[in-house]
Amino acid sequence: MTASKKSLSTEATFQWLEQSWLASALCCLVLAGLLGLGYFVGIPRAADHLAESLSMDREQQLGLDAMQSHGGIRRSKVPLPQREKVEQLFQELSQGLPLAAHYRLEFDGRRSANAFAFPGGTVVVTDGLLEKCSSDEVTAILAHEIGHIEHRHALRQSFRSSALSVLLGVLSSEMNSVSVATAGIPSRIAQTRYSRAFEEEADDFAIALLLARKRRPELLGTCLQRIAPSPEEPSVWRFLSTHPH
Amino acid sequence: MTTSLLAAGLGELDEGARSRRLRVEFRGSASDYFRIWIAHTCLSALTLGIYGPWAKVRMKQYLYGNTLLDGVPFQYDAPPLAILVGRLVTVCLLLVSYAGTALAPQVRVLLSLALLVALPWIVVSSNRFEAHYTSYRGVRFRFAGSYAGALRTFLGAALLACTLVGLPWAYRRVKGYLVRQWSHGGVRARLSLRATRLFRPALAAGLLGVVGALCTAALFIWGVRGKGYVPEWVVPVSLLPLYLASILACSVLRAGAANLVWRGTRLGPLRFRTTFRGGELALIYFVNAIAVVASLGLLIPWAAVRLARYRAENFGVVLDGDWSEFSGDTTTPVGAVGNELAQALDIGLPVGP
Repeated sequence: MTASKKSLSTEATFQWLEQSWLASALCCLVLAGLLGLGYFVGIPRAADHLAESLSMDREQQLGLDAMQSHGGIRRSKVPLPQREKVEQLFQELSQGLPLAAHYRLEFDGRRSANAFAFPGGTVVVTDGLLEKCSSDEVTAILAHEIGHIEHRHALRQSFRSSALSVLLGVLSSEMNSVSVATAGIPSRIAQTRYSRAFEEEADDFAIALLLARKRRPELLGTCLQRIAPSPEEPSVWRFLSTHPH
Repeated sequence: MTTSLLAAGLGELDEGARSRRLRVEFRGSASDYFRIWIAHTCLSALTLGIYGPWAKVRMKQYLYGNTLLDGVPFQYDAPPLAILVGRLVTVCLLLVSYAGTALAPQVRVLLSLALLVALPWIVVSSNRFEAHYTSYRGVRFRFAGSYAGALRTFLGAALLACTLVGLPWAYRRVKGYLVRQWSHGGVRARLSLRATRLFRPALAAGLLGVVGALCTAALFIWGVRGKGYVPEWVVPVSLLPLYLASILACSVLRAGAANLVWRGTRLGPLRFRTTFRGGELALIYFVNAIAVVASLGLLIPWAAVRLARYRAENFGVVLDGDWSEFSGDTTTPVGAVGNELAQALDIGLPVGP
């Protein structure tokens, strides 16, 4: 008797859930809350946790793979003395940092002005960057890239996007059941917020580092600001790179 | 013989004493379905997906139960627990294969081979599951396919498809095999389809694709001409025609193939005649996509109801005889692993339009 009463009340609850607009509104709120929690807290925390558990050697291997998929390093045409000077600046900046033992600087012969931080501690600067920016400006940019590496941004970003693509995969299988035309749209939008947060974190790190090394943090971004609107900058390359600055 | 019967057209046969056109309608409403959908989606999310199978069954029950043929609804009664087991197995398999490829990239080759070997099984068991738990007038559908039969069919089709010109025959081989395995109440379905008729929708779709690609190329060239670099807006804007053309091409192909297959299908005394149109379908898909994205997914139920209604409106069924021919037939329950794998791997179920 109690069992039938109980099943009756579950049935009534389900009926209310399925039929009342109030229940629908509550469900919307709960769903939005859960999605927000997963997106802003769940995915970032889980990805960071996973990234921390990975050894630096493994990360270096991933960095090599990433470099390969970016088309590898081209031979730099910048004269050796200038390169040595930049190398020295880089050493000065990275000295004494927790991951100091893993840092490596590479020069890439590409004409477009750009700098990258790969997983595992390799920073790449292009010939274009060295040509267009003063050495102080290059220092600021290097500090920014070192920030990416100290915070293991590349790794955390890739774990975040993997987790996000699983979540979006579940959501979009639902979407694709009603239209063939929605494939891939949401992931682009959801991805950008994470990388912007990393850029800001790297900037903060760079300012602190430059101040500690008695350098001028206000030069951060001035060079990139100057060259960004120039028409020689091929934006497709920036579009493809994981972290543009 | 069947083809001449079909060629005779519906009108002529309708005049026969025992031949009548059956009403197909979809009675579901977007507002009802929305409330069911949001409640069950919310419960699935709260239970981290454990409730998902129950939600899936309930939503399908709503859609099937509101699809009426000759005034009688379809029924769907898959056991959620079996679906849950199928999902857990699928998730484990995907995790293992993901970890495997991460540790050793060579595993990928092995996995694709395993998938090829498993494909006939996945398709057969997934069809069997859907058939067994779908019923009409209290009689279950049945899918009789076997691994060996599906493997033979797929291998033959793959060889035909390799020649490119043989694609329509490959399609007919697969479709014909799958349709023949379906039965209802002991009455087996069959398909008679002239493969050459598939060339028309295929060529139309191909042509649309080429036009879209040309427009995209032209826009891109026009956008970068004389600039020496690629402005930010050029890539998304120039991709637009290709995107629209691909929706249209996909719809034209789907509609054309579905019309041909349904018109060539007979299930005992039942004949079918669908009137899907590529343009209409593309418009529905396109508007659905915009609505779903703009509403952050909240209009998914509305979109699903719209599609179901369009399908019902363009679905014609003629009965030459009466329902007593479907006497009933027992089928054994089936596991859901194949069905869930098929969904996770995006292997479309070759059922329905």
